[in-house]
Amino acid sequence: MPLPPLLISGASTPAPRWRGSKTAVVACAALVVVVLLALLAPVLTSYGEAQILPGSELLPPSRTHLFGTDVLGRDVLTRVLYGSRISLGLAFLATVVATALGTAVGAAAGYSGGRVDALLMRLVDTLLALPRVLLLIGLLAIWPQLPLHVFVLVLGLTAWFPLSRLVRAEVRAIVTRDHVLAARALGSGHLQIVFRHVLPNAIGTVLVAAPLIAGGVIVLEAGLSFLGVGVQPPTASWGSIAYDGFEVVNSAWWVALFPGLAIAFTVTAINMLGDVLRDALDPRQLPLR
Amino acid sequence: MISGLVSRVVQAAVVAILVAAVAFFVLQAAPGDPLSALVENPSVSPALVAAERARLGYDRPAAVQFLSYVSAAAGGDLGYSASLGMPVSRVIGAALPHTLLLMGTAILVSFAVGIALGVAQAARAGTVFDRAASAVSLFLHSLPEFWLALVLLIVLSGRLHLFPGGGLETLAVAHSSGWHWFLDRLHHLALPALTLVLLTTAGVARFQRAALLEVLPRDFVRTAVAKGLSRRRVVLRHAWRNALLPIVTLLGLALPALVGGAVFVEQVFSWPGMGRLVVTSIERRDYALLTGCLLVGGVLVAAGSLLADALALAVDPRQRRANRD
Repeated sequence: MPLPPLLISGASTPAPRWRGSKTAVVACAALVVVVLLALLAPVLTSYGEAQILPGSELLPPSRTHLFGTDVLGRDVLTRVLYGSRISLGLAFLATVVATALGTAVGAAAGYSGGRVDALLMRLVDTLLALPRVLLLIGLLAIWPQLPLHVFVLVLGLTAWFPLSRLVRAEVRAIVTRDHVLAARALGSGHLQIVFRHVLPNAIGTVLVAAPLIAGGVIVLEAGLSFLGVGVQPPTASWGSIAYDGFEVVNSAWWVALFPGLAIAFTVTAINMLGDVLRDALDPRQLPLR
Repeated sequence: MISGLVSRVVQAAVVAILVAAVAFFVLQAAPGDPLSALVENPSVSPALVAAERARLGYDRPAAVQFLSYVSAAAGGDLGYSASLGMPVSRVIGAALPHTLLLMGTAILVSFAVGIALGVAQAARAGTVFDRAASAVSLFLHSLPEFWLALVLLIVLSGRLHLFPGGGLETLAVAHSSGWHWFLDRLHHLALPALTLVLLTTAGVARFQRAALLEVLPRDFVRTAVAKGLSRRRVVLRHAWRNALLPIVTLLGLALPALVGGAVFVEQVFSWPGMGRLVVTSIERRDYALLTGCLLVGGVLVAAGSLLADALALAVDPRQRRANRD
């Protein structure tokens, strides 16, 4: 098979356009399914989230229990469905927090320039170099019964660093454009320039980053809950179900396997969407995890 | 070059101080101090406890305690692990080599394979091979570390019995010598290392592919092609060299994530390293051990990132020149 020519000119997207849109459709459809499953959880299953079925502990997957049951005799499918509400809800709220903060810091640094810019970006570089998981484990460990709304804040407050760098770079490029100069010449205030003339042009960067942040938060939440410092039992999240399953992984693999499968499915779809958006809107690459 | 290096050293120092502050905060916020047990002892008078607190410095302001904590830590004194009954430094000293072995293996293999894969993909961008590899690395990139570890454990160890289910070595051969011992250690290292390698390789390959695709459209590559150089020579000698720097930068960025991943992987495979120690210390509410692990892990990450930055400066003449001006 002859190799195609090296991409030595012009377009940086190697894939034909239709492939991008097809990937986007598949990814969006998968995410719609996941969200629908979460919303319709009470309709889709006849068991309760924490309902214990005496005598049916650790049953392997079967027609009555598609994902099997856990060590207490709870239906794993039911818990994965209800857990998706917690995991997706946490991811959504944390992403809102992180996106707002990252955009604000990035815009402040990029618009101000000079010392403020240098200081803020040095701060972000330092935060990026912190071993985030390790520090989160330490902080969460001293707070055994962490309320969910605090947990969301913790996740969101530690997820904005890469986004602020991207927004800052975008804003620095935008402030030199003529329409911003014109707005300034017409006497617009700083806030008005930032919100009316600069940030609307940086929205592409934020749109690309937001799904990737959400995917990262889902994985991080699951990991922390898996270690027992995140979402606390009996509340089901994808990570806390896996935490329950890890103790019995040698005899009952299904308890830990299925919640992880849900994560893999969801986050893959999110990252597919993120890739398509990035190819379409913003060619720069930065790892957001 | 010197000023660039200085600013990076400062940044690494700030990271280390921040980590120490978090560790100290955890220690302060944790319920009780090492003398709390005495308070409940009826034969010890409250005055004696107070005197002992004053002698050990627990009544001093937090800032002073932080300074003495940091200076003690710098001297190698990380406190006493109540649950294991020995100094924290000795516990960490025993666990650290295992984590370094695991992470070192993972970094070496994943960067070698990831770079090769990324270059191969970029050189054949848009082919079936490229798209398949992209899809696989996207999927791997999306997996939580603990879950991939669990799947490998369930399938390769539990079902197929190809690998041991965890631990560092088989007890029976732990004290035998030479070749047997080495193979046994390798056998135990395989699955935890494979988990980290799969995840990191995916990230490196994605990054390298993107970096090379950004270089290939440049004029000097077109010139090299026009000169009639072979495809291999153009990609490897001309383009790839210019797409290597982002990878060195990625090494610094990937270190904090790798440390986090190591915690999960060590937990799943009972690998007796720092990550497992962190989880053990949480389960046993051994806060001296927990903060010791945070501190040592954080300082190592800072040092590693600094090393990666220095490497970036060393391999890129453009950065050296830019910093001299």
